[in-house]
Amino acid sequence: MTRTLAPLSARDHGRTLYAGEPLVFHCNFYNYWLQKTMLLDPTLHMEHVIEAAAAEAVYAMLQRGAASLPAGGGEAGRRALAEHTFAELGFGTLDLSRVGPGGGTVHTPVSHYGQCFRQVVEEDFAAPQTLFDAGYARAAAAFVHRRPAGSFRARIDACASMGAAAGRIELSLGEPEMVFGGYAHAAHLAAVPPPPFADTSVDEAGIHTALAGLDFSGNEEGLLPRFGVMLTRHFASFYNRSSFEFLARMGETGLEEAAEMLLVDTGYRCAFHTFGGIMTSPEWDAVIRPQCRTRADWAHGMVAVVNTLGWGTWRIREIDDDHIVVHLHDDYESCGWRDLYGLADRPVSHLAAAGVAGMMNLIYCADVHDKPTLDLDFYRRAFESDGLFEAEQRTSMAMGHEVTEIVASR
Amino acid sequence: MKTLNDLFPGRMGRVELTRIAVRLRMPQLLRTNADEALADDVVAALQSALDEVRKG
Amino acid sequence: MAAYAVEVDQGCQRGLHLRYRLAHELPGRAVEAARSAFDGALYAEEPLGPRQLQRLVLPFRFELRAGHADGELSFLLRFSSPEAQRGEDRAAVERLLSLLADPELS
Repeated sequence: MTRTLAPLSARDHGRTLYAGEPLVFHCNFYNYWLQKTMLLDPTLHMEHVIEAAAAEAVYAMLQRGAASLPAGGGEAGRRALAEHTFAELGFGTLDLSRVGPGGGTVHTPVSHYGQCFRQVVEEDFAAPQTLFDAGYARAAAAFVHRRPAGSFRARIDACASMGAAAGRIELSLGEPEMVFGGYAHAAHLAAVPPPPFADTSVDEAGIHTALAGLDFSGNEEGLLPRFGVMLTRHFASFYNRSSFEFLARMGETGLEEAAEMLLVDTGYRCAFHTFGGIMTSPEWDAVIRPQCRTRADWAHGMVAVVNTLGWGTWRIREIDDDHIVVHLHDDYESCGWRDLYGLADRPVSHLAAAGVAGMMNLIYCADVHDKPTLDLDFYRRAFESDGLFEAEQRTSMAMGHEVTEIVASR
Repeated sequence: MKTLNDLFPGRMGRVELTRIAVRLRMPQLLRTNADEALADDVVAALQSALDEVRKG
Repeated sequence: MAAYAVEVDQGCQRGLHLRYRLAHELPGRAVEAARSAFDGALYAEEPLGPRQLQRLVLPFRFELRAGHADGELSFLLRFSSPEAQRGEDRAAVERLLSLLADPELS
């Protein structure tokens, strides 16, 4: 399968850039819970923010990506870049062939946000979930037809999450409800370079070599089924812009702490399904499980995998049965905050904090090594069990500290 | 008579109560004594909101 | 004794990911047999530590994976494939597994 794609490049501390945009792996469960959380209060109109955050990241990415096309690419080349990138990164299948300079109809026969969200819940959604697709389509159409970023409005006319057989998005000329202007991604090298991986039987370099042999491209449908979940290789900018805007709007309602708590909860869901899926996967059994002699080794193994997800570089500094200290070098949440707003006055790495605690809960409370079925009933039981780990962000790169330090204890 | 602890037991309950507080823009829900008896109409409103936030 | 046992993975692809438990050597042979049986199927191998994964994709219909675990064959149906086609493909794969387990059936 040959696709027209922009270059992928590695940056320090486990980060990956696609046409200059930092990429992070996340699964359909995290994407579902994050969006559900952000859409809780309808008066915030976060649907416009989500769509605009998608358009912002995608337009910037495609503009830079065009430099890799011969002579900047004709219309066909630019359309191919947009469509093939959508598929390559696991978002589904995007058809822009019926969109012209004045607008038109975008078809998404397969969509991560459409079909893969519908896989998470037991019933059709009441409202379309393909807000990311709509933002992507807006940006892609503007890019293909050499228009400014905010040239098109999108209307979702059909969505698989609501039971439609395929997605359909109508684009028309006119400024959308919200447009973000794009921002630079500065190189935030942690002042303190990551130390070597912990002295354990777990071989991080070997794990990375083994995982590098696997194909993490979207399949012919543009989806990425791996580790028992549906992955996306997503834009850190999209997550950061939309999550931080959510926090800002919640701050105006006096519920910022509640919003932070819900973002952490979203992270717990991510840890449960993604980390749980990884630790119960055949890939884990083949490569990592044989290296694990103790429960702590399971944490080291999971951290070795995290360091391939584009989230930054994690290093376990201390671990025992009741606590763990993890240092994060260039975690994507802190980097995103610094790029967007400068220094923060409080920690912002809610996903990472939940990931650390969630990982420990799976290993030390939920006996993930027994390969439990990772369903809602098990999640409820695990979440209510005694001796759960809770995380605290002790330092934060977003606040100007040398590393982000997360301590989870029980 | 029901209390917040009756309607939202345990840690999962606390998370669901937070979701409802966000949905209804009622930060005071998170400061209410969880063992205090709630009026019937408040219970009904909270149960209705809980059904909503549990949907996809 | 049944040729195989099958369970539906209730994880992310509810109903679209089937796991078959087979005699140890059969998953790899099943992939090879499917490679011959289905026109247009695309084959690839991926190294994974001490294992070699086999992947066979019939575009927009299904994917077969073997080698990730002893005695296990993963069958991932595609969203794009119509319901009737999914049923036909599942039946065809299961016939193939039955034949491999008991060649006298053919």
